[in-house]
Amino acid sequence: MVDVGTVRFICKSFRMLLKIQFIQLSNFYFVFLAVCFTYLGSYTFIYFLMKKFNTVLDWNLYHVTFVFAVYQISFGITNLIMSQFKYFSDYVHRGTLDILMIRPMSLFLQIIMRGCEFVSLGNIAVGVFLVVMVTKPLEIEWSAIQIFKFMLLIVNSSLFIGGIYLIGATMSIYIINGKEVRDLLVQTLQNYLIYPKEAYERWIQAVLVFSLLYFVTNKPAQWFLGIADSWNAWSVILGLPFFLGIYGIWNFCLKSYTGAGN
Amino acid sequence: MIRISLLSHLALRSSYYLGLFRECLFLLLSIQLFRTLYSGTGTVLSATLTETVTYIIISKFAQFFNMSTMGRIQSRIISGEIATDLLRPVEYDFFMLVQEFGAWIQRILSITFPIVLLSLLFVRFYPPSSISYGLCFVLSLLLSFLIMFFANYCVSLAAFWIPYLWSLNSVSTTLFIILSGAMIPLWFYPDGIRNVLEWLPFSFAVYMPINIYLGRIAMAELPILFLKQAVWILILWLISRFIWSKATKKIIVNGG
Amino acid sequence: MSIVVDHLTKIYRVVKQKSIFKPRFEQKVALNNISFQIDQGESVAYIGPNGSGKSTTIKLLTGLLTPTSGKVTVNGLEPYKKRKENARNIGFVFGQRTQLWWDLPITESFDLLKEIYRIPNAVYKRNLEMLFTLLDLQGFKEIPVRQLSLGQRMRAEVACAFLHSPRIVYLDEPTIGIDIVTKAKIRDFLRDINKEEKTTIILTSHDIDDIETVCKRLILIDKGHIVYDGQIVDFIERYAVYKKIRVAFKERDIQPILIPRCEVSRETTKSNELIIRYKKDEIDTNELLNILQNVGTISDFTAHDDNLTDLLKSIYKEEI
Repeated sequence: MVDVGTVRFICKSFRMLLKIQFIQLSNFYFVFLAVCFTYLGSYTFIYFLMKKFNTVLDWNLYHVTFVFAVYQISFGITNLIMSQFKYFSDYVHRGTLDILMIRPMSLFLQIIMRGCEFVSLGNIAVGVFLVVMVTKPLEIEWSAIQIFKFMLLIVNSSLFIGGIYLIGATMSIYIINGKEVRDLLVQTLQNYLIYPKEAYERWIQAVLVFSLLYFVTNKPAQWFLGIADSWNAWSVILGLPFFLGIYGIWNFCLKSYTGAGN
Repeated sequence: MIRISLLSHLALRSSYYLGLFRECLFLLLSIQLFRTLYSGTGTVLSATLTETVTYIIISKFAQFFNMSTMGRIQSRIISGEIATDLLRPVEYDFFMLVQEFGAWIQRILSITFPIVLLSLLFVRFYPPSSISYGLCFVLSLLLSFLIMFFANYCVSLAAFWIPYLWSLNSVSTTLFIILSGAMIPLWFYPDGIRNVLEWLPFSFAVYMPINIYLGRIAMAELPILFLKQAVWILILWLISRFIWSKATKKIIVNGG
Repeated sequence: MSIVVDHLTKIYRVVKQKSIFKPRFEQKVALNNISFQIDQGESVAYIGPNGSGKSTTIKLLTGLLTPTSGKVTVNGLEPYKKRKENARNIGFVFGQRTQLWWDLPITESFDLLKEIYRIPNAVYKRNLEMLFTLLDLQGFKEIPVRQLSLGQRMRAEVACAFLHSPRIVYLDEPTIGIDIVTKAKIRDFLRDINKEEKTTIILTSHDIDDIETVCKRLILIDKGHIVYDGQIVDFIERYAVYKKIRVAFKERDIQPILIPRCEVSRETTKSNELIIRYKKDEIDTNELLNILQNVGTISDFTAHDDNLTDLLKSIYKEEI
């Protein structure tokens, strides 16, 4: 399944995507800066609020900033790779999906390699910047183990967000506004999940935990910072099974889509 | 083909409900967050919890971002069709204004009112401080609309020189939201920054009208504030005229 | 590699009433128990009126759909079960949709397809050379696809389909909207490559000239049933029961007369010409000429049997 041809395909596609991006380099710079500005802008609200109120339960400005930053990095990574899934509805309705499916290569891989939103590097930049800023106040020591834990954290979040992208794509198969549902989960809700979940009422907490959104960044970040119990280590590996599960559902829905016809 | 248009119909409907749901969720979570924030702090703040909650809810009336007419203007600039609109500039302004006003009223009716009514059932927040304050609030809101319209207008006209629409719009919208107090009340901003912002037109778009609603401003001061709003409208309108004239020259020189 | 379609039936569930709570479905029979076999090297025109089940068949053959009942086998594989494996050996041109990457020149698309289809270097080079020559791609190979004309783009699409030396190629409306010169180039290419490489060609087209130039066999499908399956020449011979004669008179403004068992019409652009269509074995040509001589002085006279266009037109017309 993963043979030389596939690897060469990935490399060539990637080179092509870079080429395309270079054709519109000035546009890229502008959008990159706009992305940085926009997300730093969102951060200012958090900053002002935390500066005024000092703590949300037992989290301070730096805790909240850290969770926000981790989310930015993960989101940036996921969007870099899986951006085309945001437009899955177009693929379905324009018939491009058919063409991709009668090729001897994984549909999933083909869709990924069709586009790469390099401007998401802006998100990663913002996230990294903020992590650096809170390192001292949070007394994070970047030892080898810590770095490994951090990588795990990021990978976990990215997989979770990737899974949400796939949920949006799967819904697109059945005409529902997959895009907007995904936006809801990714943009709106995550903004509130940078605070401890106890900040909200019981029933909201239940929703957040059961929908697994809590485990995207919030809980795993707590584990990293050591502000939660030690048995939370398992929360950082939930990302992979979640992603694989959604991937399976996406595949299954595609099969039934082709089986039933359009 | 038919299937696609049927789908888009359904999509619009569900889009609306989804949007409504999203707004409710946003409100719900914000209010709960603020409750937690307030309960945790010992310091005295410049506004009470209920005032803050009221602010968040009422600010939904003052959502002047993502104006659809701006998008249309910009695409006409990019395609060059704007040249025909230059023939009647003042009427064009007015035409766009009326359209955008209609869109705003529609937004209020279809989204803001349902949400506010829903909030009445579940959340405790203040009605207007008094009838007269309420009326002044409405007046102020109308002036705010004009301010933000011309501000957005100036930005969209910048498309003549900055064809990077997404970047332009994203940055300006973010800036406007931060400077106007549309997300969180300006009283949470550091004092120094707030003082500066009170000199800019944007705080007059959201922060000021809601302060009127809450009765945090003395009646006597209101006329001056209205005047300030009017002055800003004038200034922004003049700026937009200025940009238009520059743009016209550019088009004539370049041939469209 | 042969294609075997065995008692294939495909039924769709179509949404009749769009309601979130109780949507109502209706069964639509797209294909009704059809069977045929296509051997390696055949060139087949697979045609029928709109809604006849053409696209459904192609989708079943390429593995995009699963049959409701019956079986499709392509070289022993069932395409919907082993779609990717089947995909290695097939090529396709779907008229309205593009295989090419939009922002870069065609050479980049070919390069990527080389990896997707795992084409060996030698084969790739050889094919590329051949395709560039036969389809005349050299002139625009550096231009991004989005700036190409439709004719240029179509030629490149056809090249994509044959790049990996597939055994079977499906073409769905490959010449729609294209200028005559390009059409001819594509048709000649298809015919030649079918002859040389023995590639099976399955062509769906509303353009009769495409079919007559490229294909030898005709499968006609209508309302989910196969109406005809055989050689094109046989089809014409068997169904061309009609003869058409065109008579030009010296006199201007000839009124069409009524001739029993004949279709008589006047040529739209020439008021002195009549066109008469009749069944060959019902009318004696001599008698007909006698009748016509009474109409006026015959200055010119041509006769020919119904051709493929006429035949198909009349078949399609019956269905509307």
